[in-house]
Amino acid sequence: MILYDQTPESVLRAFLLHTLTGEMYCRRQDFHSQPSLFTSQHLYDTSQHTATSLLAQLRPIHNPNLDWLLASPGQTIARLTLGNLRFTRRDQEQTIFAALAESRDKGYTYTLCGAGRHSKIFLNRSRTVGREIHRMLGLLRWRPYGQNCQIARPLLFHNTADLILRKSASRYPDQQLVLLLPDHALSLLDGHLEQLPLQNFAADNSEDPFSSYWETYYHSQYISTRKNIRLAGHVLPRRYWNWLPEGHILQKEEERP
Amino acid sequence: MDTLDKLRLLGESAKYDVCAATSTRRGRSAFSGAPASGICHSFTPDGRCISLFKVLLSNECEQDCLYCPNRVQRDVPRSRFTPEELATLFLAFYRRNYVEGLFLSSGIFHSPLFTMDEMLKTAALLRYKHKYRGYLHLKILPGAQDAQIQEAARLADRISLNMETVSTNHLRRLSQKKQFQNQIMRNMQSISTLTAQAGITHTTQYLIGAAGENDGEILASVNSLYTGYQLHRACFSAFQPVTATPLAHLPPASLTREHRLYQSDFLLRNYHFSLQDLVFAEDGNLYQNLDPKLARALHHPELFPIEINRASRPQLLTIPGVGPLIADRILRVRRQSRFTQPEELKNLGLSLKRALSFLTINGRYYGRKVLLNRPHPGLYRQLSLWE
Repeated sequence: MILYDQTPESVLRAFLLHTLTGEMYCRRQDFHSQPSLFTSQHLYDTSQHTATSLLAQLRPIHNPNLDWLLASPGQTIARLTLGNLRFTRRDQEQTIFAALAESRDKGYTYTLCGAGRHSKIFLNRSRTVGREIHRMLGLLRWRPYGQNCQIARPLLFHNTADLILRKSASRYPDQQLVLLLPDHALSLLDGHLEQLPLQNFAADNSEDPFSSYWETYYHSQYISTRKNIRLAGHVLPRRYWNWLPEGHILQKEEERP
Repeated sequence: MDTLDKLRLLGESAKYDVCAATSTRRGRSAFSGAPASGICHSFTPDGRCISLFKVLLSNECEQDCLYCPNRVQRDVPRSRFTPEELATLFLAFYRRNYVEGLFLSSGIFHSPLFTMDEMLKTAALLRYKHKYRGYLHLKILPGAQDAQIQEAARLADRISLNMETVSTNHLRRLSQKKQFQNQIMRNMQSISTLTAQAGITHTTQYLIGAAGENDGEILASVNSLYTGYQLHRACFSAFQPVTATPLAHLPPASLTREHRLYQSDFLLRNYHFSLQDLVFAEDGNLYQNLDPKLARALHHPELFPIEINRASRPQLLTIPGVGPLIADRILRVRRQSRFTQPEELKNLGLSLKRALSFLTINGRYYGRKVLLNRPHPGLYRQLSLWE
């Protein structure tokens, strides 16, 4: 049994251990929730191994070698693995391990380009997570809250809040950024992430008076003779329409013949 | 007029200006820390991205362009922002993350020199007083002086000058006051030199369907700007008639035509196509029912099918459905393995419906030979549905 954590490094080490031993994978939290199930199994813990030592053991028995995992392609695979771990789906790791197996058997470019069946899902999930972050960087509407603090309510489908905060930080230097999530608030200040109770930001229920300026500007940019709601729905999926302040304008235009 | 009314009026006056999102050369501009790839902050019901705060400094204009909603003879409310007022309003949008940057243009009031100075004042306020480091796109007005262009290139991430059309004769059909050679082409020459020195890019915009030029003439003009003036990219705006203008009676230009021009422009810029590679109909326009690359492939069946495991990058780029991204993926996969079945290409993101008839995989042809041997229009149209 190979124990691993949900970090890219641990997952990659688990994959190397699996290639060496052929043992089954087991998430550490599953193991700790029901340890009696696994008492008869031999345990390999990824935290007690390094990628370098595992690759050294693999070198004589596996051809072609997997040393690329320590180089630039390995970093890309780790980044894609992180994306997959943030994708909200129960079979995250199964897909990751299957895609890694394809990269071992057919070469890393096969996986990095998504040529294989599992590699394609692996790549697509990472892209979906990346797209959510990229989309939120544009669609999030920050509003001032007290001194040197900006707050926003995101609409997230994957576990990306901390990544969005870190990416947004460069635009707001010296400011505390707070994302209001359904059950808690996540704050970033000077590179330090912190979970806060939502009650701390209870005063945020009023509407930003500036939103009327935004709606005026949004209206002014629309060329009605070019109306193309299908395209609008494609570039801005409908699940975001109710969440955005300008979503009701899109809905109204859709209903209008 | 209060700020909200000015915003409505001057935002609406700028809506026909086309600008790409915030793509820029990272670290090249003196001031900017704008992101290299475009971020969209919203989309209007016409599907266009709102990325920049796009307004005019003023809609007062002394020009008489026949198509323009701001032309001097048109009876509409006029207003203008002061530089400080506009800078403050824009920063309020920017800090709330409604927009990624500023796109500033203007009608010409008093003179091009005076208006250009006011625009530069706004840009300088943002850069120096408010320490703004985001994306800034400044429009250069026809007739601006070289010193003003130089200052704009220093302050902005990108500058642009509208060509509007392709020649003196065509411009005369749109405006009696604008001078093609003395104002536009002369300024374009200065811009090309000064932007290169400042390390930023410049773009232009064509108005499609108002002056009677055909697609061949437009693309020839665009191509000459790419080769002779270091133009970064061209934008195309399909003519939309505006009430109470002399061209209000003309029908709007087809959006498909605009789309085909953008496709051809991409072929010129990113696919290593030359102007001679593009195929035009007898009237000098692009085929409306075929995308330009498919039209080229169908006019040159002798060049196909191409073996996917051996083709060079330029060859791959001639296959309909294969863009630079897919071509690079194919080349990367080929370094370590060979393609043996269509499914593998599909997994790379390739549209098999479009590409399969123009390639072989490991020596085997999976497409429909009839498309290359005996093409007929019905088959072309069917393929075009899969753009």
